[in-house]
Amino acid sequence: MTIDIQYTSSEANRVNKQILGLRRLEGTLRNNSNTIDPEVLIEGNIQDVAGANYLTIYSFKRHYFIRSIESVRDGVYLIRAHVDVLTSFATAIKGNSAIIHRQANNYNLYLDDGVMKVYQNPIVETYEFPQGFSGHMYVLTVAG
Amino acid sequence: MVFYGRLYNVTEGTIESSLTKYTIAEYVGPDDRIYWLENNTLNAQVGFESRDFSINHANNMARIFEQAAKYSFYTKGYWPLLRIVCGNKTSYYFEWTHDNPNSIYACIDENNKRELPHWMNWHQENLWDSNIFSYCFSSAHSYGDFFGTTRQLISGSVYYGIPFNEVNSSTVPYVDISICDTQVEYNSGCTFTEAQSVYGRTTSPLQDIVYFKENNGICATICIINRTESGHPNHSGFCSMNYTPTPSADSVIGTAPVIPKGSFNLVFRGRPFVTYLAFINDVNSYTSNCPVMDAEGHDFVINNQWDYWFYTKLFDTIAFVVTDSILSVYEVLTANVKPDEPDVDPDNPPDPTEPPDPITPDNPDPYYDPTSDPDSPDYDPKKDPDSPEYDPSEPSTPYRPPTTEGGGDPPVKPPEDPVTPPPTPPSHAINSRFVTLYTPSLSQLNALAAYLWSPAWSIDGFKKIFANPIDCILGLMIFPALTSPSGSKEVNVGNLSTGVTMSYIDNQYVELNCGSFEITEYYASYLDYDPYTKIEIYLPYIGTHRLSADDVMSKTIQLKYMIDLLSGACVAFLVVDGTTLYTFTGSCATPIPVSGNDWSNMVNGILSVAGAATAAVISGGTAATMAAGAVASTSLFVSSHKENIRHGGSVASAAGLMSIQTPYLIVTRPRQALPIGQNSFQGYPSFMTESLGSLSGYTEVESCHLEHVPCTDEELKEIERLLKGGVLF
Repeated sequence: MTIDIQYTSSEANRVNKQILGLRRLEGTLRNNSNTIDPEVLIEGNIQDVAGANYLTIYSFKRHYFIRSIESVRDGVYLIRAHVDVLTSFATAIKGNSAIIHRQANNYNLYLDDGVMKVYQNPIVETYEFPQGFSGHMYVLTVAG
Repeated sequence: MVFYGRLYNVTEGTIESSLTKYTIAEYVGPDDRIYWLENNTLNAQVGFESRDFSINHANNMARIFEQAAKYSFYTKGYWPLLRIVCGNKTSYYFEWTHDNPNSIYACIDENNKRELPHWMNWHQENLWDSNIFSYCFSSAHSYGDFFGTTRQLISGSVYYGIPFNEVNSSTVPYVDISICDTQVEYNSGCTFTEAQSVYGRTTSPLQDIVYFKENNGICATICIINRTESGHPNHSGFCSMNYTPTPSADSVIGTAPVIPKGSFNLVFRGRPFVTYLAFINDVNSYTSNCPVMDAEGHDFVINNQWDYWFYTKLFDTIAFVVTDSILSVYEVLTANVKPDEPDVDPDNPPDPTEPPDPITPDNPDPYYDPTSDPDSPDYDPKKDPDSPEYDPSEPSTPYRPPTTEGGGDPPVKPPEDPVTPPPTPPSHAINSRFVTLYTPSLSQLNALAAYLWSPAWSIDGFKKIFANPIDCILGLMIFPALTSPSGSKEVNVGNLSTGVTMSYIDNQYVELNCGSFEITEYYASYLDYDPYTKIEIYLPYIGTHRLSADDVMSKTIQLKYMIDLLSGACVAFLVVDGTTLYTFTGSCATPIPVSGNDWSNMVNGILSVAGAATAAVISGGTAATMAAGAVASTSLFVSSHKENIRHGGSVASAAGLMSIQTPYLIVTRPRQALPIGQNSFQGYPSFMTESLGSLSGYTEVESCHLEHVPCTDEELKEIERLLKGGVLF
């Protein structure tokens, strides 16, 4: 099966990652592995996989994080990977709706979720009313 | 390549904004073909959707283009004013269309109209950070005064590009668009050909100042625009504006009488939620509302309209400051206010929003209730408030489901009855004729005392001993100056004429209006409310009391005193947005003992007040002990573990005379610890229902039910776990 050895500089939790292709190789799926945590044997040079942290297996229609690269013998490498579900199914995920807990741009700052922090020293302000009492007068109360 | 743009969907003047990311990039190759990357696939063709992206194409500079923002909105017979904020050394390309199959006319009147083309564009290159552009549909392309008579749908897009060799730079282009439906009336024949951007922000975080300039450059208009929501904190962006119709120029409330050299200030009182205009005219313009002032007998030339001014809303006073950077005298500033605007009635504050469009078949009310419509066959008079058969026990407003935006006001607004302070009681002791209240001067008091305690033996002295006239002196007290005397007359003590004439008053109760002002938000967030923001009010002759920030924030508060001159009791009414929410009592009078009994009563009263204050201090100390050792964490933690300190106790009676005589508020606001990039790393609370595809940036999902995802069950659970833990779109 065809495997693209790739590099991504994007965060692991980013849905649409920036992917840089390094090498396209043919590989073999090792026994007892699956589409979620595949172990793939590839033939190639160390330069082909050095610096790679990402791969795509087109027959699985999935993108993967490279967990480890082991040298099995000269020119043969075993790559252990884990599926990147966010990028692999990005289009389908984005077709769904959800109740959003926190968001970078769509937010309501009048909701108090207890995450914000404040310093210990508050701002104290005073505001005077436009008018108050002034002067004084005597008031004598007399019966009659 | 990741670009971010702000996507606006505008409906009826309200813009819902969201950052959205597009993955289309375009590269103009040396072979003059346009390449673009979409879903990691490189495509190429000559031309791109028939659009001309040839900015800088002449020097063969490869560029990435991105649809940064787009919007659509309905005109409502107004001038649509578009404001664009963009920057970071990018080139921008603006394109506007209107989708209405019928023609839109730009016209002054029916006999002089021109068809507005369905497409227009404009571009600007190499803009630096914080460039601000305003684009007025009506006249930027010389279409005259666009004044559609019906609602029209207009759509527009903004594209931007940056040099290809700079795409990895740390700068991120951005575009913010805001739209407001302007309804600028003609002022002194001005025709606005250039809507000159937002010029500043008022003290309110929800108000912006837009500046319009006349085409000949000598007349400017400043408008205060109320926005309905705050903009993006990183972009100083603006989301939507509700534009209060501006006043006409036929009522001048302030005219600069003299042109000072260097600077000129004009201050006039404004009203909440009213838009004001300040016209700055050339002294040579000889307009009717702009008197020619030639202080030095020279002709003046305007080289600069104005370069600095500010606006303040404190106590509803607006101040404009116009300075002259070229040190020449040139300007007259007049302020105009809507002439027929009545004074703001606290019982009926004006609605700051525009009235909604009439309900039509094309614009149905989604919450239309046929049971309260007399023309509907489903009409039920019990549910019609205007019907005599109306039964208030049955809610007439149907339940409105929560909006997808979340939050906001409850869907059904319950009826409310504003409670206003009562008038002065009509019945009082004075009009019973059993007592008389005098307001003597010090010399008159001395004369009366001299009479009462004169040692001379006489028939009068004999009567003094046996009639005990001092019993007729019911009280002598010091009050703050509150009222004017009603007249003068001789003081009779019992059946004796004293021969001393004093001023008297004929109303036992007097009122004092201490004025009003608006308490504004500081953060435009929950931090402006309890328990984070604490508000206390100091009331002369009463003391310091705690107010709930929830009650008074962003509202106009008015303070009124009612004082009983007979007993000294006073009641302070705190009116919040027209209704009385707080009532405090105290004593305004400092008694002067005229007998031994009076003296002991006064001292006992003072001692009881001192005891109460001591108890309050002890209570505060206990709270402080409980809070000892607390370490600040979240804002709620800090607020809930702060000592509950009272800034004062009772200052009634004799102590009141020695205390501060003007009421004031003590507002303790939290100091927010907001790290840079908070929205990128942690986001802000949302609790809205959104399509995940419409989001950009950090997102944490509260709840979702994923469907149509072609993955295994284990993968589905992992997706949900990641979404709830926070992902980046």
